[in-house]
Amino acid sequence: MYIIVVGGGKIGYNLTKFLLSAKHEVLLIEKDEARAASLVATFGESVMAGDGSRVPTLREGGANRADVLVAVTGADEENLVICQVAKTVFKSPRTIARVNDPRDEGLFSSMGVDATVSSTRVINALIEEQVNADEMIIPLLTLRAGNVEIIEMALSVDSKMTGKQIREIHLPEGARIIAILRGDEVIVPTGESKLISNDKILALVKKEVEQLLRKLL
Amino acid sequence: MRIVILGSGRVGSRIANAMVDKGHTLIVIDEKERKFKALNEHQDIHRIEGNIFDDETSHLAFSETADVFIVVTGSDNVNVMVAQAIQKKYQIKNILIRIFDPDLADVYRMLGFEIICPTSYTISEIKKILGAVQ
Repeated sequence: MYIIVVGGGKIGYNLTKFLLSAKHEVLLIEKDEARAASLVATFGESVMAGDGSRVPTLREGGANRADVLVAVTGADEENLVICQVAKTVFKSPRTIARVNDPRDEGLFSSMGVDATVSSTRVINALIEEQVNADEMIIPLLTLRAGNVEIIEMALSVDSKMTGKQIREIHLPEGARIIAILRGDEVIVPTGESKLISNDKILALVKKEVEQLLRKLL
Repeated sequence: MRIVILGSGRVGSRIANAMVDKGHTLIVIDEKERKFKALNEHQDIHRIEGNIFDDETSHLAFSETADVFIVVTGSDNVNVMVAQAIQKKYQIKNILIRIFDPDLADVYRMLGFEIICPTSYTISEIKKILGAVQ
């Protein structure tokens, strides 16, 4: 897939890193010149400096052929405009916006944004569900009408998966481990990769098997 | 008419001062109190200091139905977001949005909004003058 990410803050940075490791074609657009320059040092040609809420920038970035456009700047009005321009001018099949202020969420979904991701809401939901921090699951991206998610999950302290190779784990149908996060390192796993304690994993899961995967780990 | 203006800058304050003299009621909203300095003291110019995204502020401004909402903050992105939020919440029929960027102005015209683009206006005025001197 060709994915355009607008906003090179912490979320945009990590999302780009992850999407590249998952072998997607990615373009990260960042408005601040200095920040963009430092991102180029990490991601090279996958970075473009420019204001992603402007038509010429998105055109130069190839928005007309992007499969997904993700707007994750820190400003909600910017994220809204980016998605609306992408939809209106470039007929983007899928737009995803980060919503910083939960009050804006309703507006976004009625205004041509296909999916919204609100960290405030996610964290709030976690608190309300009284989920332990060590079993925290953060849906990073809800894809294709919300049926498939990319989630981050930490191995539980007493996980039976510790020390096992990926190939030894019987994953539920509809779940794939796409990355192992070990300290600052991101491992793109093969069947031989071993899970060790304190690992976190990124998994692509169908919603219905999310709970199964969670139990397993 | 009851006219609500968001942004009490050079444009917003001048529109308010001009329209109140025509007998209209003006509600001017700005986040910064000092921006109201350019507004005339008049019983029919009401000032609201606050963020339009706060319910308290928007209710103050739109508790009575507005005939026109003019959105002229300094940011194109803020203007289009506010316009859509207020339209959705209060079903205001006439909303005028200022957008400096001509491309963006076209996008939101396509989406059915009434847009004023000072950049396009300036360009066409300059073209007119150049045409006149040729």
